[in-house]
Amino acid sequence: MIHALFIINRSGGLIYNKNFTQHVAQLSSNEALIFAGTFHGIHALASRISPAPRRDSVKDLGIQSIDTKNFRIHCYQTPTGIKFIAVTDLLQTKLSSALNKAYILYSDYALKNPFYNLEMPIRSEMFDNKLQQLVQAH
Amino acid sequence: MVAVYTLYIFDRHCECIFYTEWNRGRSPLSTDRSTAAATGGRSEGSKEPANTGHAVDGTGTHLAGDSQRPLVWPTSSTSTAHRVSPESPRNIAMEEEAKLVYGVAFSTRNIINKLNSKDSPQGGNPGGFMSFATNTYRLHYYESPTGVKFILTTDIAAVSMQPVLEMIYRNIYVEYVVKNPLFNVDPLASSPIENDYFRAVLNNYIREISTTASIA
Repeated sequence: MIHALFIINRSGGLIYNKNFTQHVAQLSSNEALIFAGTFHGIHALASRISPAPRRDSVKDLGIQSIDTKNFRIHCYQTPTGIKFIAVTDLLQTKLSSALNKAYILYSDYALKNPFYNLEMPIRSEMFDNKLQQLVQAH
Repeated sequence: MVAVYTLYIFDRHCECIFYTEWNRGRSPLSTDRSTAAATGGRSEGSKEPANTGHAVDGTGTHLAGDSQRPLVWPTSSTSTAHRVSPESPRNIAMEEEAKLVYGVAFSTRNIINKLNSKDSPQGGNPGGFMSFATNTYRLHYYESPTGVKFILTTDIAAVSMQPVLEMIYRNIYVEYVVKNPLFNVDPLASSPIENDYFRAVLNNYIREISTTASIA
């Protein structure tokens, strides 16, 4: 079950957020922006402080999941640096396929929209509906 | 089989009071390692081999400790020879890194508290932040009721280390550090843990859990 979804652009700005259940707190727009900025920061720092022995081929790509008592946060970063963040229940161990599908929806319904400004908040009813369907399927 | 990399302990004043590492490669932040080794080698070379006694011993161990990374911080109180000067590049990298680790864990805890409940009280860990994972390591977080924070990094296979961290707090930290009559009770100042018993027991315990598969 996906409780909430956030999309963060390359520079740490929030471009989309939506709660699908009441399980996590509904953040005000200000708090959601703080969440996005903070997550962007810790994601970048986490890859710098990796204590694992370095292998040249393996690079740390930043936070992929966060476990808490009540929910789990998954993060998928696209090659272009956009982060898709989902808050789920504890049963979801791997969500990369769903987040990948969300990325496809973003490409199809936001990027291909000629009226969409890059790096700006996504306001598209079509995108909302498709995302809702994707979340319900999970 | 769990690979445990590092353990940090932070007190209520956000100060790193203890650091130790196991099975760890090069630090990601020590970029000037080669230059440090080079200057170390040069100063050692300029020393007369016939130089007498204590000073040479002291410098020798000091350099050896410098070219490898120190395994614990603060260094043992009994061996003053290992006391690395705060200006040494290695030590600065360690402290900078500790600050980054603290910052990451603290910010993660805060956004989780916010997401968990809108009117969560300030401080503490009501959201229950347990760990986060990247593709190369996992960072586990435990906060005691008194605000002492334990941060353990392992490989990604170790899914939950909460019982381990609680065990370290309850049966090692409290028993060997807090119950020590020389424990610094001044609530306004923080003091690094320089306790050999604590270190030894901790090392044994970590060795034990990293060889038993049951925890993972």
